[in-house]
Amino acid sequence: MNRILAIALLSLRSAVRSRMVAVLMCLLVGIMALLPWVIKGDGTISGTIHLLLSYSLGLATTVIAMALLWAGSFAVSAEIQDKTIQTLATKPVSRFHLWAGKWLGLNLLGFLLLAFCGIVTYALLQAQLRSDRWTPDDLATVQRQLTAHAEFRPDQPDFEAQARHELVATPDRTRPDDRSPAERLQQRRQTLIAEFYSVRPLNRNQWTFSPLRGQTEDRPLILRYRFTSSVIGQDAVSGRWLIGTAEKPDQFTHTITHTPRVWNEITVPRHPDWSAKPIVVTYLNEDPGGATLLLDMDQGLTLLAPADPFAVNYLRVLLVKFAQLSFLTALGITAGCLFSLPVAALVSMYILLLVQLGSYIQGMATNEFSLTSAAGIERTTIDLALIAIYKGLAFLLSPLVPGDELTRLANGLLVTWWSALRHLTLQGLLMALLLGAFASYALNRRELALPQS
Amino acid sequence: MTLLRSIGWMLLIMAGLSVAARLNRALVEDRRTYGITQADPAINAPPLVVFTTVALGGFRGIIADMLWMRSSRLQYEGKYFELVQLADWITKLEPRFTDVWAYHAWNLTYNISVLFSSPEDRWRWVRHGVTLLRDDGLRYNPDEPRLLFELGWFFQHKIGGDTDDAHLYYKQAWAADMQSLFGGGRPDFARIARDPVLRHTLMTDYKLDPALMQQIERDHGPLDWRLPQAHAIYWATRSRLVGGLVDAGFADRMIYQSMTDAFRRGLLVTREQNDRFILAPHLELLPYVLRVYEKAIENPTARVRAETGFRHFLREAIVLLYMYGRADQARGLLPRLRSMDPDISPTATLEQIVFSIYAGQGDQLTTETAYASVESSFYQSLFWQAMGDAEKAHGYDQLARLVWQRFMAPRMDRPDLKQRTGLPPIEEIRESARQRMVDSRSGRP
Repeated sequence: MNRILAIALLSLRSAVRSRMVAVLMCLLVGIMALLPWVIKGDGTISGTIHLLLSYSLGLATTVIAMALLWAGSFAVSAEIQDKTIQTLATKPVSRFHLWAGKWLGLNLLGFLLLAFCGIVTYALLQAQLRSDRWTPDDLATVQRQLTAHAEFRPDQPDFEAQARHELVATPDRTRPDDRSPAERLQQRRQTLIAEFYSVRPLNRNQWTFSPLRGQTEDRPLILRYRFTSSVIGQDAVSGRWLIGTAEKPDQFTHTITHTPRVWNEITVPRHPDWSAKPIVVTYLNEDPGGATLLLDMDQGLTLLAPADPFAVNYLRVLLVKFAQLSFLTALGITAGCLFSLPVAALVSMYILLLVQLGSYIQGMATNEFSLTSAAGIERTTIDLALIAIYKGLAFLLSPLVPGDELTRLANGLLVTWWSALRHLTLQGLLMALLLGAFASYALNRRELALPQS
Repeated sequence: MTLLRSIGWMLLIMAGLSVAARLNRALVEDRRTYGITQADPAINAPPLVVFTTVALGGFRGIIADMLWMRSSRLQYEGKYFELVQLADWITKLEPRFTDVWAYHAWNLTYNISVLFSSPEDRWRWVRHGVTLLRDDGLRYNPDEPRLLFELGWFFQHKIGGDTDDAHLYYKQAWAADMQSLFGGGRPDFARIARDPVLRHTLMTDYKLDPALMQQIERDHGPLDWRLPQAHAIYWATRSRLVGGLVDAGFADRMIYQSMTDAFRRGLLVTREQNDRFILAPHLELLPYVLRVYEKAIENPTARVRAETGFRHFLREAIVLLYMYGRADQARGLLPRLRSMDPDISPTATLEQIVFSIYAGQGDQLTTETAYASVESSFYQSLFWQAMGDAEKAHGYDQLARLVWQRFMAPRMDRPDLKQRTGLPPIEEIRESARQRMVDSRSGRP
C-alpha cells in the first residue's frame, strides 16, 4: 500500500507541475468566474439557477475530465518516453501497483478540483438567492425547485401481455390485414398505452399510485404533468383533478384551466391515508371545446414528494460526477500504458469527445430515420452502414455517457444514495479497476527498457 | 545549428502566412463576387464572433447543428430555460445567415411565448425574440431587409395585432417603456437633440434613429410612438431603404397596413382616474394614410394588393368619419371609393353607403371597430344633445347600446373571449366619448 501511495504522491506532484494541466486549471477558474455572468437565461430565477447548475458545473466537470485525461495519458507514456520509468520498473513494484498509484494520485487531484468547483458553484447559487433582483414569490418558487423530490409514477399494467391476450382472444377478421403479427402486436400495445394516458372529452380516467410508504414528511405533494390536446392550436384546456383513495377518490379536488405542452404543477396537501393505501388520481375532462387530453407517455404524470434538502442532493450529484471522472482518469492512464504520449493524448481526447457527444450519438442511433438519406426511399448500403456504426458506438458508449443527474438536481428531483453508490462502485471503482487490470497486463507485455521505447 | 534551424522555420512560417494572407484577400473577394457562401467574413463583428467563425472554420456548422438539435429537444421536452442561450450561440456561430436569426427570433416570440399562461411570462419571451433580432441580428446584418421586415412584423402582428390572448398586456408593457422614454406619445425631437443620455438610450438600447423618426413623422403624420404601429412603420421604412423592389413591396404593405391600423386605433386614450388602456381612432392621420396607399399603388409588384387594401380602408374610413361627425371628410372620399368599388352604387348617398357598409360589418366587427362604433355613436348622441336635437341624440344613444349589446352577446358566456376581445363597460365608453367632446371643445387634440 505504501508503494501505491508513494507513486500516487509522485504522480500528483507531476500532474500539478504539468503545463497543460495548469492551463486547464486556469481555464477552469475562468469558467467558474465568468460563465455565470455571460450566460443568458430566460429572465426567471428558475432559469438562472438551472443554467448556473447545468452550465457551470457541467462545463467545469468537462474541463476537469480533460485535465485528468491529459495527466493520465502523460503519467505513464511520458515516463516511458523519458525512460524515467526504468527506475520504477527495476524496483519490486508490480505493474498494477504502478497503475493504481497513478490512478489514486490523479483521482485525488480530480477530487480536489471537483470539490473546488462544487464549493464555488454552491457559493454562487447562494449569492443568486440573496440577490435583490428576486421577489419573495420568486424565492419561494426556487426553494421548491431546489428541494429534492422523490418521484412516484402510476402503476402500469403489462401492456405487452394485455395486447397479446387481446389479439389472441378477439382477432379482427372483419377486414383484410397485411401487417405481420409483430406489427399488429406493437400497434395494439401502442394503442393501449395511449388509452392509458388519454382522457376523452367529457370523460374521466384514473391512475393508481403505490402508497407513499416510508415517507415521513408532511409537506405537500406535487402533481406534475404535461399533455397535448387533440384540438390543434388550443391554448387552454379545462378539467378537474381528484386525488384520494379507492374508497374516497375526492379527498382533494382541483379545478383547473391548464396549458398543453408545458409542465403543469399542482400542490396537493398530503392526506394521512396515502401512506398506507394506494393513491388514486382521477382526471375529469370538462373542456367545452371537446378536446381529448393525452398525457406525455414517457413521463407525463408524476407525484413528487419532498425528500431531501438541496445540499444533500447536491453532494450526491458531486459523488456521481466524481465516479465518472475517476473512470475517465483510469481510461487516460490505460491509454498512456498502451500508446506513446501523442497517440494516448489523442485517443483520450477522442474518447472524451465521444462521451460528450454520447447523447447525440444515442439519439441518432435510436432515430434511424435521421440516418436514412431520403424519406420514402429504400435504405442504401451507406445508410445501413451508418446505422450500424451509430448503433455500435451507442452500445460502446452506454457505460460512459454521463447521466442526467445535473438536470435532475436543477429540476428538484432526487438523486438517491443508491444511485450515487452504484456509480461509485460500478463506474468509479470496478470498471476503473478492470481497465487497470488490462493496462497492467499490457504493461507486462511491453518492453520498457528498449532504447527506442 | 539548432537555433539557426529554428529561425529558418520561423521565417518560413512567416513567409507562408504572408502569402496566405494575400491570397485570402482575393479569395474573400471572389467568394463575395460569386455569392458562393452566405457567411461573409465577419466585418465589424465583435472579437468573440470573429474568433468563433475563424477558429472553428467548417466545424462551426457541426456545432451549430448540435446546439440546434439540443434546442429542439429541450423545446420538445418543455424545458425552456436554455433556449435563449442556445439561440444566442447558434446565431453567433452563423452570424450572417439571416434565416437562422429570423427562425430563432420567431421561435422565441411566437412558438414559446404562447406556451405560458401568464401575460408577464409571455411578454418576456416576445421581448427575447425582439431583442435577439434588434440587438444582435441587426448588429451583424445591419442592412438586411429581411431582418428589418421581421422585426417590423413582430410589432405589427404579435404586439400590434390581437391574435394573442395577452396582446393587451404587450401593448401596455411596450407603451409603458416608450412613455418612460418620450414622456408621452409624441417625441420631443428638440429635447432628444439636447439630451445626450436620452439620445444614446434611444439609439443604443432601442436602435431608433431620431432623424429617421422625424422623417417618418413628416411622411406619415403625428404617430403615437407608444403604440406598436409606429414601430412597425419605422422598421418597415428601414427595410424599404435598404431593400430591392420586392423588399420594398413587402415593406410598403407593412407600412400601409400599419397606417390603416393607426387610423383605426392609433390614439392611446389614458384616464388618470383609472389605468384602463383604451385605443381610439386617430382620424388626423387620414391624409397621410391616403398618401401611403397612393404611393404603394405606384409599385407594380404590389399594386393589386395595395388597391384591395385601399378599397377596404376607404369603406372603413367613410364609416368612421361619418360616425365621428366628419361627414364632409367622409363625403370627400366617396368619388375615390366609387371608382374602385363596383359594389357601391354611383347614386347612393353618404348615409345609404354608411348604413350598408355598417350593416354588412355587423357580424364581423373587431374589438377596436366595435369600440369606435359605440364611442362615436355616443359622441354623436352627446353632440346632438348639446345642439338641442333630443331625438337624434336618443337615436345615436340607442345605436351605441345596440352595437355594444350585439357585440358582447356572444361573449357573455365565454369569459376567455370576453377578457380577450370584450369591450369596457358601456358607461365607461360613454364617459370616454364625453371626455373626447370636452377635449375637442377646449382645443386639445
